Amino acid sequence: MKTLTFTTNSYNHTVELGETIAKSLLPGQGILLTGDLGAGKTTIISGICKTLGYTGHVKSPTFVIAWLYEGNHPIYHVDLYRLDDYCELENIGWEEMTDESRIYLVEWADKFELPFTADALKLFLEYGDNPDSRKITVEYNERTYPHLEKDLLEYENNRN
Amino acid sequence: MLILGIESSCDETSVAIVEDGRKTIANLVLSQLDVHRDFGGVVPELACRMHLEIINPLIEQALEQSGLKWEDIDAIAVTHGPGLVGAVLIGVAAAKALAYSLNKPLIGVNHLEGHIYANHLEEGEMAIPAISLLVSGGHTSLVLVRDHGNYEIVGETRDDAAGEAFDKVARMLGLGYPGGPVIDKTAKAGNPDLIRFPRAMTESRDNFDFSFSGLKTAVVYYLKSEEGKKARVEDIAAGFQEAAVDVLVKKTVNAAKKFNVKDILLAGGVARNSRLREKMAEKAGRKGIKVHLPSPILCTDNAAMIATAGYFLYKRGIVSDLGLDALPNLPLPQCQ
Repeated sequence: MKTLTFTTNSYNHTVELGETIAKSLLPGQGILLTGDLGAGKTTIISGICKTLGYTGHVKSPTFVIAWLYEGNHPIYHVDLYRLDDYCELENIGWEEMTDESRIYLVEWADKFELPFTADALKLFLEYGDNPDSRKITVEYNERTYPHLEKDLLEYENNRN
Repeated sequence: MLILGIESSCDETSVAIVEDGRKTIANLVLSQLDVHRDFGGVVPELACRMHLEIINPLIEQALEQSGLKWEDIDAIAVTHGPGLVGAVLIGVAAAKALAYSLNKPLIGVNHLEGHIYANHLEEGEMAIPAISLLVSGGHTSLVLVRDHGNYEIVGETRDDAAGEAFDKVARMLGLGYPGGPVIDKTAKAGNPDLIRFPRAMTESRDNFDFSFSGLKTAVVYYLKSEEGKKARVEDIAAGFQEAAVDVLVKKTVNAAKKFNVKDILLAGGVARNSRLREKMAEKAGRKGIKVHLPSPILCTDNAAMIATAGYFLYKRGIVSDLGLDALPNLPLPQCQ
């Protein structure tokens, strides 16, 4: 496992970091996001979806549990905030959401153990020093995401 | 005409029987929150979203309570979207089985259209044209209702639904769940003008979209601040509620003026909020616009509104076949 940490200093910076990360995502893979209320999970997902070919609004799925977006591949935007046990997600069709034709993006992913996510990339979001800043840690397997580090460092270098 | 309605698009499983789109004969609603209580907490699997286990007993109970026989039912109406596909599917499958075995028409209803019809059920007639504010945990939309079956979404949330912001702020304030009613109650003991939270996207009179994510984050940062650590929970709740209500009221009244309609229809769970009801009636009233407020049980998800919407579809000759699908992203029927 490899981890990289970035500090974003604006809403757009957080969105663009998401756009860059998503370049590495293939169908059957997904992202598990962890972070407090208001830490920017839905924000970074809007950037991720843009790269994945979905240009509509990315809305919070807290109440509906899952939104399905039509990108280059079907994207499931899932939120475990209101769930307490995997069986609730199983009933909704988690196994289908994670099959090899789809991409899954899961908020509050640390609520319980999630099967079928061995290939997932993890994002940890924290508040930064001011209301616009966020600390974002990416955790991933280099063999599954061989170009991710290069893409991210290149993006950050171009910003500076 | 007696229509049996079924709703299972999110947390609530509901079955209703409505006569002529007006008279509620039965309207049973079982929320996932109540499942534990109703089953005495003895079946651990019930922690899951078990519309499946609830729906048949609920249908039988509705019939029994109404004193009707199966042959009295003239048609079956069911929510087929938008919603959580696994949940919607259970209602759709039950409705199809009933329609097939009773040989009665099946009517697929849009869940959001159902919410708008809650107003018809209550008042016996729906004011048309109107602006409907559809506001709940999962949705925040302003809908121009031109006629039965002719809608245009003129604005909607870009991120969080208003009800979601209420729930999450309630959790931050340690007030518990569900957040809507508890914020409403707590705010009554607070000063709504003491702490001013941002009113997002209110600069333009012609922008009817909403954003509540920034308001939620503003409360997070306020609670971390020195001032926030000393503030009373009642005042924070009141300040937050006032900001959310202000935006909802302002945009709804502006939309009514822009589209030149004289009626506002409130719909959805957040329409139960006392401050929203009060302020909407006051601000709209000053402009000569009437606000229609459904009673609380008809604001949250229920099958009576689905049966009513189904009645109007049927009257226009719109019925479904047994191939009716659950459509998680089903849009409101729109005509330009």
